Amino acid sequence: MPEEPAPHQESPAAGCPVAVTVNGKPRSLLVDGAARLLGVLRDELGLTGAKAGCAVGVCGACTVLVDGAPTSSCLTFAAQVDGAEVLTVEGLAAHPELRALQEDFLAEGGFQCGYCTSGQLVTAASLILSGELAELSDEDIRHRMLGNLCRCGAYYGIQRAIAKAREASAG
Amino acid sequence: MNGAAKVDGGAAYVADVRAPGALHVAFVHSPVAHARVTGIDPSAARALPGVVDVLTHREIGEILLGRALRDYPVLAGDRVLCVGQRVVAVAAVDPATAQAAAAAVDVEYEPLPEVFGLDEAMRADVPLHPRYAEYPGAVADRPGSNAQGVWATEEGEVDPAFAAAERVFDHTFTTARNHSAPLEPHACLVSVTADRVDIWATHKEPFNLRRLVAEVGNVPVETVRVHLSPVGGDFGAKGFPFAEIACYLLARRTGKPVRHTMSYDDELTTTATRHPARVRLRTAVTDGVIRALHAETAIDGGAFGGVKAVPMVVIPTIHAPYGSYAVANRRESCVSYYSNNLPGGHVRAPGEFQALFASESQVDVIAHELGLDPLEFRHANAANARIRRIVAELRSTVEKWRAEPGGTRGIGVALTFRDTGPGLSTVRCVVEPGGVRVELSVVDQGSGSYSLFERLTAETLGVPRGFVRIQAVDVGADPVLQDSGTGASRVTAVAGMAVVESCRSALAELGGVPGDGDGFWPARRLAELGVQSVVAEGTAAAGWPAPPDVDVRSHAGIAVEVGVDEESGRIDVRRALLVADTGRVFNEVAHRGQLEGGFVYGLSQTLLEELVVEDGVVTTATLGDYRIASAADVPPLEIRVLEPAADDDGAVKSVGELVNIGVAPAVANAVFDAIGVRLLDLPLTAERVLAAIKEQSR
Amino acid sequence: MSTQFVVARSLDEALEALAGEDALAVAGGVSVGLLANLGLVSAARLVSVAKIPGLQGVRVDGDRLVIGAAMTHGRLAVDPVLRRERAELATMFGHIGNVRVRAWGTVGGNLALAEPAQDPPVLLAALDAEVVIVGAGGPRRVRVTELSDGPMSTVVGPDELISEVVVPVPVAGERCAYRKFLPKTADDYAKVSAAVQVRFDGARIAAARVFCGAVGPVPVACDQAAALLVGRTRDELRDVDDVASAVRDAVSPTGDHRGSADYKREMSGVFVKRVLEEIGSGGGRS
Repeated sequence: MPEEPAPHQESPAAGCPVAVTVNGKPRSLLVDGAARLLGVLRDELGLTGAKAGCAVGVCGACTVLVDGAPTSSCLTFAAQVDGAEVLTVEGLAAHPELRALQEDFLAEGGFQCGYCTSGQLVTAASLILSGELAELSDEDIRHRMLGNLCRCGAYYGIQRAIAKAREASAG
Repeated sequence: MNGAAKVDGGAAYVADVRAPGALHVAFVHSPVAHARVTGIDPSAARALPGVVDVLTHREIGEILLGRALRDYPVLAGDRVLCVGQRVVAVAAVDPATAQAAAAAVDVEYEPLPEVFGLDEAMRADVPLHPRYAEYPGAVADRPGSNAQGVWATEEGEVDPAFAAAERVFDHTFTTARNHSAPLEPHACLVSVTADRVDIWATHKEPFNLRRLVAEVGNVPVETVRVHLSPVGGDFGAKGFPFAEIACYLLARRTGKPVRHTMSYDDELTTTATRHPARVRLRTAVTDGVIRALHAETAIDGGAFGGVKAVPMVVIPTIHAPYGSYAVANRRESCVSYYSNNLPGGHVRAPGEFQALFASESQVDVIAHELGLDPLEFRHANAANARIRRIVAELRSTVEKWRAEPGGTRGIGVALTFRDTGPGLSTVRCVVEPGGVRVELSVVDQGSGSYSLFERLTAETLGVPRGFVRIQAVDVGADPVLQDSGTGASRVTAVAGMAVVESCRSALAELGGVPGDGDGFWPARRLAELGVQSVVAEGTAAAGWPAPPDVDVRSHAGIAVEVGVDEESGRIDVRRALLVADTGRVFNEVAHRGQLEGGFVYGLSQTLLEELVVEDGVVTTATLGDYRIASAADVPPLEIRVLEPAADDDGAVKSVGELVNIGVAPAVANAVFDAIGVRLLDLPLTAERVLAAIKEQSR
Repeated sequence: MSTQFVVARSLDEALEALAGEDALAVAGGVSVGLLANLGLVSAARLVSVAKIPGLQGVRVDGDRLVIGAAMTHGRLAVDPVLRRERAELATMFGHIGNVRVRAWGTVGGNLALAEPAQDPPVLLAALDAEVVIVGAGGPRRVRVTELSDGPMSTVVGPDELISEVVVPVPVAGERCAYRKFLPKTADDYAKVSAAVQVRFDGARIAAARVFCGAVGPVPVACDQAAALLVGRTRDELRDVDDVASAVRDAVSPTGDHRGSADYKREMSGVFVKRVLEEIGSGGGRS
């Protein structure tokens, strides 16, 4: 069975033009007005790092950054991100400090099954990219991360990894 | 699957596998709890553009599924037995069309009397499964015609011990229905060609799935391949083929790949749940020593027993209560009954969670009634020195906490233990000049097993980890490799030992000394032997329960400090300590993760989780309503991993289900310590706690 | 089955696009996206109002604070004008849901959703805020207390929009506080919530407003409880059993998986009491 991403096919229903930068790459898409960002990223762009979970914006497995803001891509309409910059887990490694965050997740046990991990990383990355992390207390971090559920319960490891990134950003 | 792929988005879970042209499957689920199906009219669905096939029991006949008892039909026949039961499967060109078609199928139901709740299920005189005796795996002697299964044991001299007892303590505890709730919903993808079946599935027992597909399809098992994808959380949920068989049949009929990804509300409303249980413990005590136990557990098994893996079609409560104590005289039973609720299944420690809540709570009650310190009482009755060592560790911290100022608070403890589940694993070690490769067919469900295998290989062969590669081999691609699945905390123990065995065999064949020289020493030996490679297989097996005289278990103790808001009943868990005796630790990061994660899971199911079912309908059908603990809901946790005990056998021990089972009693005991109110029913929601406070003050 | 997505650049454009059949306004998309995922709404045309300049910003206009309806919870939480003028509002917005909801969800969208367990309607009701609703017939003002006529239902017409939320700026002697009861997880909907606004004239309360959330189809006005507060001193806010009792009489919770009606009723009294304790001990300063 072929496993390569299928070439983007414009369905006749797709009618809404969306110009968006995804992980630094400009993309021009035609989407249906009701299409969600998550579906477009996964099915049209082959970026399957963001996962479908609860579908009600609670679990955070689908989190991506839109102009730096953590976003439930399962709720957000693709047409809403016209003109925006989208960062997904696949784009983190291009930023040295985010690459380091990925390493911290590995070293500190910031994941187990890995299903929520893309969302956890992306939300944590937003704290780094916004420049806020150095100023955040442990409790602030928990408050910002509480929308990314981890059923494996890797919260302590995630917190350790982000704290490590905070030290790096402060130093 | 190595960890790096999980932090860069590269890990391909089942739903991530590309399958252009695949059909999408949607199911028609029963909206009623018990009814005769008097008609299925799929014509409107078939007429929708994009609908390729519609499957009902008429097309497939009766196909019964079950891990032990086979009573769970792939699609309902002339009767539905719970809300959410799959009745019709529709395959269409995209998910939206499939869903629209499923909604267009007209099913007629003629209501039948419903059986809800344990009491009704125990009383029911009209059995919900009149053909029970015909099912493969049926239990021969059951207590009543509506029972699903029974497991009863007796050891020692129970009646004399009770007759001679100074005090008999008799308490009944209940636990609610909750859900595994892995964040990855069930998913599968099936492709059927003339001579081959390919399956990707969120299934932790790929060998069983393969056998089942071969059996249902009447095709040689060698032609079925199950691809190994990482599983996005299991916790017991991913051992039953809720959708796989219907998808296989649709793929075979249509000649197209077929896939299904469950919506999260289907996950919560159409799969299986933890069994709500009623646990009655009668415990005989004389001179401060526990002399005998009579433990009776009754569970609401729901509409089908097939999701349970225990051959007696119950949950593993036997030997669990008072398992950390020397209690030789034991009479124990667990009975499951049919009802028109969702079927019960496995959720992280499927019976021990209920049993330990009861017994570790009752231990506290007894200690208080006897005027003894609960730790003292535990110490006096502990089964062995390993457990006494844990009690001593708990005591030192509890004393320290008590000495600190903290306002109104309570401290509670609990002891837990864990056997390793039964299983068998065969793996292969291939040593080549460039490095060593271990081939295995073990599912990665997040316990860090692959990095453990890597480390075991490196250590056994004495080579740097950089030269080791663990290769997941699809099930069916290699006839030698075997594995019985990742349930019952057995991966590290069984598959890990198989890895060590294969490496030892390879080592023997190489004839070298581990760690001999710098770099990858086996390359030199291969050259000396004049061979391209050395290939060796290794097999390991574990039985269950453990042999009586050897303590091969892992043990732990938990202490928690809580505050209780007596106006609202809300419990605030302020901090926790976990003392673990898990033998040798092979992978510190993964080991710690399992301990921490087990605590979080246990805390969540202690305080928050109840899958609410009203008249058979789940009313907590999203993660917005079925709440699980977030990062902001977990207290500081100190973990103290003890050095292996002097008599430790050196074997790998299980940790995945060691901790979650002890959190509930520790919290309940802490609440008693704080406000003198004994909580007998899980979960310990604020409303339930407030009700208990009021009940007591009445 | 295809859906149009229209990005309105002005209120007029938005109203024109909404005037057609089966159109739905989208601000942040949180509520619409969620309800659509659950199969509860669908539309042939989605009309984005997020980029309409007139729906943004927070400004003081005389004795009123004017909040653009498309301001997100997250921006409101850190908005310097709101924090200065109405810190309790900014704090409330900073604790809605999770960071993604705050990044996209808007105050207008939240009020239009009219979900009984949401935070903003309860506090805004206590503050006697109004919304401006625009439509073909021009703008009209509706009190937040009169905006919702039932759960998930408002008086906003299908071809109308909430454009602004108008909140009185604090007057001398005013105190206001809001609390929600989250017995489960920190990101949960409130099991019950309570907002109290009082105005002290000298040492004594001259006027009070008490509202509870998640215990009725809309934010529940506890007028009897409010009347019992008038004339009290700050110290007398420690003993408010009569007020709590009046709150319990006023609310009309329904039992569901979040709790029984009796429990929610009792908790609304407890949480009003706690808000009053906070005000009594000098909190709730605007």
